[in-house]
Formats: sequence, structure tokens, C-alpha cells
Amino acid sequence: MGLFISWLRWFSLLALAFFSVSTWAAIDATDLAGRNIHLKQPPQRIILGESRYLATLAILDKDQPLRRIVGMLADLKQIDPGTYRQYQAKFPTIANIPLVGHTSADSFNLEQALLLKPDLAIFGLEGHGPNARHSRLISQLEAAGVPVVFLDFRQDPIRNTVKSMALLGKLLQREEQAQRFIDFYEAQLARVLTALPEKGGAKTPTVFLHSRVGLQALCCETMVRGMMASFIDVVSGQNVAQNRIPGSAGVLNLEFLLADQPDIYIATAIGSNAGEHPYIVLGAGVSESQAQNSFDHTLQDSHLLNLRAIKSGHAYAIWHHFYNSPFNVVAIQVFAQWLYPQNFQQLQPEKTLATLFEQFQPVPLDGTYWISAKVVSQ
Amino acid sequence: MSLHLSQLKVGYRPSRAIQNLNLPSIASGCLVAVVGPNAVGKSTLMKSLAGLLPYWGKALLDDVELSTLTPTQRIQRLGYLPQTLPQATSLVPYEFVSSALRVSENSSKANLDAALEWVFDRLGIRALAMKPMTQLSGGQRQLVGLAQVLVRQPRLLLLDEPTSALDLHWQLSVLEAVKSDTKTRHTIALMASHDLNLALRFCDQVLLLSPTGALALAPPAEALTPEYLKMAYGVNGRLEYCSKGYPFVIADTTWRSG
Amino acid sequence: MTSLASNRLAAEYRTFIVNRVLWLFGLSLAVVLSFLTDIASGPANIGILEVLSGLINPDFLDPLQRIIVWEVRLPYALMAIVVGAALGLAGAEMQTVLNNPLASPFTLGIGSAATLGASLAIVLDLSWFGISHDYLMPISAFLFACGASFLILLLARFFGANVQTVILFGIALMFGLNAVVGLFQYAADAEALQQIVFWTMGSLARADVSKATLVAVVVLLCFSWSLTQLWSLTTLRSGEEQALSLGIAVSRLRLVVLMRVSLLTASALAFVGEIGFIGLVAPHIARMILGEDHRFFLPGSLLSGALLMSLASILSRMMLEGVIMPVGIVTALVGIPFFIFLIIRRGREGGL
Repeated sequence: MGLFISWLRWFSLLALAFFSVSTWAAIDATDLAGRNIHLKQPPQRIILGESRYLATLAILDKDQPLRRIVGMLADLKQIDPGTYRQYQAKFPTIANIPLVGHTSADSFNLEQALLLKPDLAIFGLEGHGPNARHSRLISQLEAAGVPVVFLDFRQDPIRNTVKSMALLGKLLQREEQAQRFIDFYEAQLARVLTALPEKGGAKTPTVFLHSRVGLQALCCETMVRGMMASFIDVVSGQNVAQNRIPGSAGVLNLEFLLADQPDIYIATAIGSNAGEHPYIVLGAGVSESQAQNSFDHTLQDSHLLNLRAIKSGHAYAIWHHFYNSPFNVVAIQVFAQWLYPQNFQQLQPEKTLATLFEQFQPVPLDGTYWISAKVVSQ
Repeated sequence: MSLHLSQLKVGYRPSRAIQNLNLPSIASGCLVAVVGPNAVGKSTLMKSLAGLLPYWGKALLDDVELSTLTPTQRIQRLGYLPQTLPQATSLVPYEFVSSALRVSENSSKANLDAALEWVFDRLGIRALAMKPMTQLSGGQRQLVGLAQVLVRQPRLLLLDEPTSALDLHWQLSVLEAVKSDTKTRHTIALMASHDLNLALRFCDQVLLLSPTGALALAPPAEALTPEYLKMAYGVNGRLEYCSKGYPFVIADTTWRSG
Repeated sequence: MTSLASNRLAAEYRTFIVNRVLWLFGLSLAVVLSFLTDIASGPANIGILEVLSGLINPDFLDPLQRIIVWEVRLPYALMAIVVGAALGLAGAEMQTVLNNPLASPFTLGIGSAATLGASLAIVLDLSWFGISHDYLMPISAFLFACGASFLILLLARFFGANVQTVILFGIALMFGLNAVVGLFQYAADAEALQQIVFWTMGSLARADVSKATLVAVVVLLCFSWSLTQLWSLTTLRSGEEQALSLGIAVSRLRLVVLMRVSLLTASALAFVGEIGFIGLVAPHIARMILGEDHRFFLPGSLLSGALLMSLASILSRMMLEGVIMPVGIVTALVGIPFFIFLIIRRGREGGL
């Protein structure tokens, strides 16, 4: 009898301990798809639907960004090899992280993913990995006890970047770090927003955003909604493709550009290695001269040379992957300066980027992320 | 002019359609009906002589071995009408026939026009000349096919079932045309047929093939005897004469040996 | 056989010929008009007269207009014409030698092979001997298309070049190649995948005048070559046995024509990506209005193809102002209803 009572005592103690720990650790939140997330405990085994989110995770866990990653897609290595190499140099184990897919949602291997016993899957609202439309995959993961959370830096980067970071901070219990980033981000964004002229004013420059230059021999792919198109909107620029292209991206007629003559030409750079023609090369590990060469090379013999924006030196190129990164505030500052140089003489986007790397990245800033074309003489 | 077939083998081993055909010489102006039961090798014989399939042995036309003819020489001398009907295409018969002429001959346009005119009259199908083949009946297409062969005025006509799709009127009409062609131009026509009575009515000679080989090459009355009919077709049949004196075959019962 | 009688059918047929010549003339005129419309329409309002004067004398236009007319519109419009012509001619010849109204360069997997070639160049990011990516993709597409046809020809020759054999090999090849393209798409990173997708949508925007000239030369050569076989091709429409009995080496003819079709298809697709339906539909249009005398059928199909493609080109740039829709999508969208109409018509009338 005495034995039984002592068992009972032990048991109730254990139960109490378990209960208190679990209530203390459970996390409830709403993700960017508006879904309610309930985590029983802080996640320790995370699957990334886009490995480009590594840099985002690193903002919250600067020393050991890979610590909790048990599986990811191959998009970082494939699409942004410059950044991947930087991470690999610092964290060689990145190569050992199992891949659960290639660079598309279709290639996501659910079985492989479940074998890794994840306790959280982080996906983007849209993008290269599984997104919010893959409801079957999501329900399968949840049925297997893997909560799925959606972030977004791409559909509506201006509004969702802060929300995504706050959410991630909460889920990973890095709220303090997340708040530091958010404060910095908001301050930098405010520097742009407060100094902007009214949109639609006489001086509103027209902008042509030439997306993924060199990807197709044809001219000219552009974005009109979300992604980098949002940056033009937020800095009060007039996107020339606006209201022309259905959806978020499409191909403009070159003739339209020649006839309409935008004030400013902005190209996005998807190249990572010097000499990778016909792409513009920007990003980690790219020197300024390499970037300059690739940009000049792209414009050479191109009918785009007949754009006044290019002839007059209002032609720029920017690292393409800002469109899906919490560092988008840098691109916004850069755009602001390109569109309204006189309003933003004090702004130093290069310093913003440097600070971001210094405070929120495990790897140093080493590369060129935007560039201006040389003025072409007539 | 003559056609001489001896030691002729056609079809592939092991079961050649015709093992060893030896026939007396066929003289010009002769219309020969090639008759016999199914699968006896009538079509194979036609195709082999026409150069679409190989043959072994001798097939001499005017003492020239058919297999040694160049394609040009062959189409100048031979006209082969396949058993399959011409396709129903959007070509009109005039084009259909004239393209055959253009492919094979290098004659002046006036000559070609004249030949076309002649053949459409000869077969009495002038009214069809400008209608798309898709709008013609099977029988009409068969006539156009025949026109395609006759227009070149070949020396040796090889006709594989030329009347299979025709009604009575056109059967007679075609046979009359072929017969008169052989007589007026002194050509030879070999016509594979299942219609014994039509053969009897028009042919000078009947080549009766049986599964064991050729039974006869003889005038109709001598070739289609009850004995031969039994051997070739396995029927009890007889040759009768109608009130006008034409012979015709009546099959009474099937016959089983033993 | 009086000379009077001999004139009657020939005279009757002459009205046929006159009719068809008029149709051919009308088609040519339509192509020219469509080309002019194509070259005269665009977001930059340049009048048709200015465009024409500018084509004759470039100095007539201001520098920007010159670039728009000569460098943007002209290649686009020219490419549409020559690619349409190539596909129309290829489709007509193919339908004749395969005796199948549903045959087209795509049915035999030549289109898929071109896609595979392009995908390979894209995914492996090849650059050989300093040839730029811009040219390597078409070259690779061309080589693969030729390779595929060669394979079909080889197999057909080995196992007998009858119609069913060729078509079945072609279909097997098409599925096989599509699977390999799928494999490439799987292995491709997002950008390469996009490129492949754009390729399969087909676009005239990759055109420049030198590429268009190259295709034009191929079309001219192949067309002249096919002129030497007009009567054989017409006779082949009577039926295979009929043609054989007329001394036409049908198997050889089939191989030669397939070779020509490959050349036409490969050179056309190499520069514009996958463009379906033209090769299928153009011959049907030509057949409906011109019949199948190949003296009229082949040029008719060539012109119909050019016309369809040119109209699609206009449409692809007019649907949304300032925006270019991939022309492959437009041709397919226009082509499908038309094709269904043809099938229904065919069902009613019977025959091929």
C-alpha cells in the first residue's frame, strides 16, 4: 500500500512537470497565409521549402543558422550559388543537409521529408518551393504531425517582411533578435518613405524593370505585381508595364519601349559567375569590375541601346534575389536613389547593406549587389 | 507479241503461292481470265508479273524477261490494276488519270490531252471527270483506277478483280472495253476474277488455278469442266448453255473428297 | 478521237486550273497584306505609308522609327512568314507521304526532338567553340530534330518504310522524347526550367533578319526540290499500290520527303520554339480550297501556313497593347477551334 502511494506521488509529480513544461513551450501564431499555427514545443528539426530562406534564418541565429535545418530544397545552390558558396565556406556542413527536392514544388519528396522527422516545415506563400496552393501536400504534412508555416517576402514584400520576421522570431523563440532586425528594417524603410515626393506628380519617373536579363533571347520580360514591382510602387515610380500585363510578370513588346521611352531602366541580374553571359552578374563574390563588364556586355549590340534611359545613363542593374529576401529594404533604398537622386542624397544603401551583413549575417559582405551602366555616347 | 510463262514460281517460301507454272504461249489479242479459289495465288501472280513482287522462272513478254525491264520500260509495257480501290481523295478523276500519265510519260501536252479524252470516252465516265474522288462511289473509283491503267495503252494489262465493285451494267461495260482494247490494239490482258460467268462471257482463254497448281489454260468451255471445277473449287458444277448459246457455270453442291 | 472532242475535257479542266491559280494568287495577296499589316502595326504609331517608304529607303524614317521598323517589326513579321511557310510545306508533304491527314511534324516527334535539343543546351548551359548561347540553342535543337528524323528513317528503312511503321515509330519517339524533356525539366533549376517553358510556348521574338533569311533559304531549297516530285506525290494520293504500279519507288519517295520535312521543321523550330498546329492545319486549308493536285496543293499549303502564322503574329502583339503573347499559344488557341471545325466537316463529308 505504501509502495502504491509512493508510486502515485511520483506519477503525479511527473505529470505535473510534463504539463507545466508543455504549456510553457507551446506556441500559437498566425502565419502569412492566415493559418493558425500551433507548435507543442519550439521546433528543433526544420524543413525549408526554399533554401534561400537560410539567410533569413541566419538573421535570427547568426552563429548557428544551420543548427535546426534537417532538410531543404536545392534552390539556393542552383539559383544563388554566390551566397551558397559564402555559406559553404563558413559552414561546410551545409553540403550534408539532405535535399528533399530540387527547385520546384513538383520535385518535393514528401517521403524523404517525413523520414527526416521534422517538427516544422517553412514554406513561402509563392515561389520556387511548395506554396500555399499545394493544399494536398500541406494536409499530408500536417497529418503526419509536421506543422507547416508560410512566410512571404515576395508577394507583398513591403508589408509581409516585418510580419514574416516577427512570426519566425516567435516560432523559433528568437523574438528579441527578430525585433532588433524589425527595428532596423523599419527605420531604414522610413528613411525612404518620409522623403518621397507625391506619387503621380509631374516628376514621377517612368521605370522599365527588365527582369532576368539574358534568360531568354527575346525582349523584354518584366514584373508588374509583387516582387520587385512592389519596390517601384513603394518608391513612387511609375512602372511602364503596369496595367498592361495580366498576372504578375510578362513580356513587353520592345517596340512599345522604344516608342514610349521610359525614364529609367532597371535590369535584374541572375548571373553569379564572371563571364556567365548573357546574364548580368551580381551578388556575393562578384567584384565591381566583373559586374560592370557583364552589364556592358549585355547592353552591347542590344536594341535596348536605343532607349534614352540607357543613353543618358539612367540604366541600372540590381541583384535579382532581393525580390525574395528580408534585405529588400536595401533594394528599396537603391531604387529610391535611382528614381529621386536629389531627394535621397543622404541615403547610403551600401551602408545599410553593410550593417545588415555585419549585424544579421554570419558571413561578411563581399560582393556587388547593384551597379549603374556607363553612359553610352551617342 | 506473246506472253510466255514457264517454270514460274511466285510468292515466298515455304508455301509459295504458285510452285511451278508452265503455260503455253499467250498470243496477242487474247483476254485471259485468271480464275481459281481464294488464296490460290491470283493476286500474287499479278503483282509478280507487274514487278511489285519478285518471281523466279521465266516470264517473257515478246521474248524479253519481265524482271530485266527497267522501271521506265516496265511502265511503258505493263499496266497493272491493283485489287485495292483508289483512295477517296479530293483529287478529281481527270487529275488522277493525268498524274499517272505525267509520271510515266514525256509526251507533248496535246498527246496527253488526247489520251485522257480517249480513255474517259472509252470507259464512258466522262461525266465523272471533274468530280472529287470523295464524291464518287467505290465502283466509280474502280473505273477511274482502270482509266489510270488504260490511258497509258500498255501492251500487257494485268487487272486484279477489275469488276469487284461494279454493278451489272458497268461490269459488262468494263469487260467490253478491255476486250475491245485487246482486239483493236492487239494487246494481252490477264484478268483475275471470281466471276466465272463473266469470264466465260468475255474471255478468250481461262487460266484455272487450283491449290495444287495450274489445271488448265484453255478456252472457257474446255477449262471449266465439271472435273476441273471439282478439283479447283471443290464443288459439283456443270457448264450449261443459255438460250442465246452462251456458256455459264452452275454450281450444284459442295463436294468433299472421300 | 477528234481534236474537237479532245479539247472538251482539257478545256473543262482549264477552268479548274484558272480557278486554282486565282486562289493561289489570292492567298499570296493575303500573305502580302497580312505581312504589311504586321509590319505596320505596333504601339509606336507609324503610318503604313511611312513604313513602306522606310522599307524602300531607310533614311526616310527618323533613327528611332528606323530601328522600330527594321530591327523590331521586320524580323518578327518576316520570321512569321518563313516559319509558317516551312511548317505548312512540311505538313503538306508529310500528310501525303504518310497518307494520313492527322500527320504533322509534331506527330512524329520531330518537334519534341527540337525541344529536347533546346532543353539540353539550356540545362547544360553549353557553350562550344565560343558559339554564343543565343545560337547554340537553335543549333542543338536543329541537330536533335534531324537526329530524330534520321532515327525514324533508319528504323523505317530497316523494318520497311510502310506508313504504319513510320507513324508508330514516330509516336513512340515522341513519347520517349517528351519523357526525356520531362527529365531535363526535373533536373533543371528554376531559370533553366523557365527557359524550357518559354521555348515550348514558341515565340517569334527571338527572330532577327539573318535567322529569317536562313529559314527562307531552306524553304526555297526544299520547295524547289519538291517541285521535281510533284507528279509522283499527286499519284501517290491515288493509293500506294497504284503508285507502285506506275513505277514510283514509294519507299524511296517517302524517305526523301521525310528528310525534307525534317530539314524544314528543324530549321523553323530551331529559331522560334515549339509552334504546333500550323503544320497540321495549313495543309487542310490548302486541300479544301485547292484540292490535292500537288502543283497547287504544295504552294497552297506553304502560303496558308505563312498566312496563318502571320495572322497569329499580328494577334500575338495586338491582344494586349505593348505586350507580346507567345505566338505558339496564339496559334494553338486559334488552331484548335479551326481544327475541330475541320474534323466535324470531315466527319460529315467522309473520306480523307
